[in-house]
Amino acid sequence: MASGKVCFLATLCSLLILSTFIGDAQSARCCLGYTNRRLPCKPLLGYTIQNINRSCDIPTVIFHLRGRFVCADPSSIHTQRLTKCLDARLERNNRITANRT
Amino acid sequence: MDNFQEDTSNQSYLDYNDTDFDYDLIGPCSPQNNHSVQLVVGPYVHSIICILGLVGNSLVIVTYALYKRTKSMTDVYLLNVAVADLLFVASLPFIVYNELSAWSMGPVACKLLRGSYSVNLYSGMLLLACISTDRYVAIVQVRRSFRLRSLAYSRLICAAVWALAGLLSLPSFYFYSWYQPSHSRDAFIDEKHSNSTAGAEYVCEFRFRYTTEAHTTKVALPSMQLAVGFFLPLLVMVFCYSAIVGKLLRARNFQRHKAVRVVLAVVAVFVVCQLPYNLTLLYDTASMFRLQSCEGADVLQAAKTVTQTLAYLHCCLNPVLYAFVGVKFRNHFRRIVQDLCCLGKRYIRPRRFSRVTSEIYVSSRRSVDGSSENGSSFTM
Repeated sequence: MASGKVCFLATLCSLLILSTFIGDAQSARCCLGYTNRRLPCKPLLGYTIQNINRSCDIPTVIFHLRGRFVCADPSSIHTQRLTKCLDARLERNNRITANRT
Repeated sequence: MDNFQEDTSNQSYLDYNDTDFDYDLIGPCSPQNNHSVQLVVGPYVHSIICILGLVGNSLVIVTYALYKRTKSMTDVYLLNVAVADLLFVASLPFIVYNELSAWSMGPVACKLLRGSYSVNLYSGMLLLACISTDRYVAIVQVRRSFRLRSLAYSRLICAAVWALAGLLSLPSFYFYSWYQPSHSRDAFIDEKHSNSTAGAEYVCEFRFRYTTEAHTTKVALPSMQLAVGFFLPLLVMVFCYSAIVGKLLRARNFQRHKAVRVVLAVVAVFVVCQLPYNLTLLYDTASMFRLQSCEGADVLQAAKTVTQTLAYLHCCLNPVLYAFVGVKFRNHFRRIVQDLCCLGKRYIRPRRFSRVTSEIYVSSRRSVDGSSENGSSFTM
């Protein structure tokens, strides 16, 4: 009887330890740090703003490069310049496509 | 400003050096990729907790509902704890299923499950504090106990506890939402790139309208859970039980050592199950808006998951620690088992006896024989 209890507790403990390797389903891909390096505008394809109103806790501007995303500090002047540059490019692109059609 | 302008010819970005660039760029943290382990082990651990909790707490509720007619103040508390724990473990499989299946049960289930989780957490914890206070009044403040320990009084306190738990859970009902975790604003040069981030999976997480609101609520809700759902019950329990142990050690009663052991077990299980999770939650809340590395966040997330599982285990141990430890309760429970066996004898022909029922019968016979150990139970 006692050995049965011990066995049961041991199983429970080992399962608990095994569950260490469980990462809770991380709900969303969030930026948790900022890139210090200054990116040029040229290779950027677009950007996304991550604010704290949803599951992420760090306000970030996410720049899209070919095949990857880069987190940047939204309060830095350089980041603001880059988003302006991208906005201008986006607008020009839209005008071109509008003229074509 | 001009040096950022450039022509949009597609060739332009091909000539910059990719390898030079790769270094020290920080991207969004990707979800951990040991999803397979989670899929295999997670459900097993949680189903064990769920089954143990369902069986233990339903036995408590059935025993009270069918057999214990004369209800004392303690009985009312124990019954309420069992109900809170039962609701908690009953919602657990749904939460686990939804976490694994991208919240496929939809927005109503999201709000209901998150909200009821919060209600049951608060009510369970506060009721444990009530039980310790009740025992304190009964043992240490004996003179006042006749006035303070009445049935109507305990029902009123339980109603107040559930109301308070509901009130504290209103923000959870309100702010948890079911949505696709896309970001608030996207700007893309190509349409085809914009599709790459739009995940089809839903989440059930906080969603706020304003940044200030998000900032306050994201800190306030876990802080309230820590304060009311852990530190307040812990303080009450430590105060009440240390006074009880002090009184018991001074008393000359042959049962006192057993009672002290029960008290120590109750407090130890509470601390062992709840302290790790609440410390992790405290650290998580304190470092919420700080920059961190993806590895650090993964470790913290794993710690939260494991300690939370340990905290869930508390629900399965409560029936043993509070109800089955009492001699009176065990006697009532024995009567149920005996009656079930009699029913089984009457309605099931002997050859169709399943092994399980015969085992229960044998064990009940044994326990009836050993029921001469009588005396005051700790739960009175």
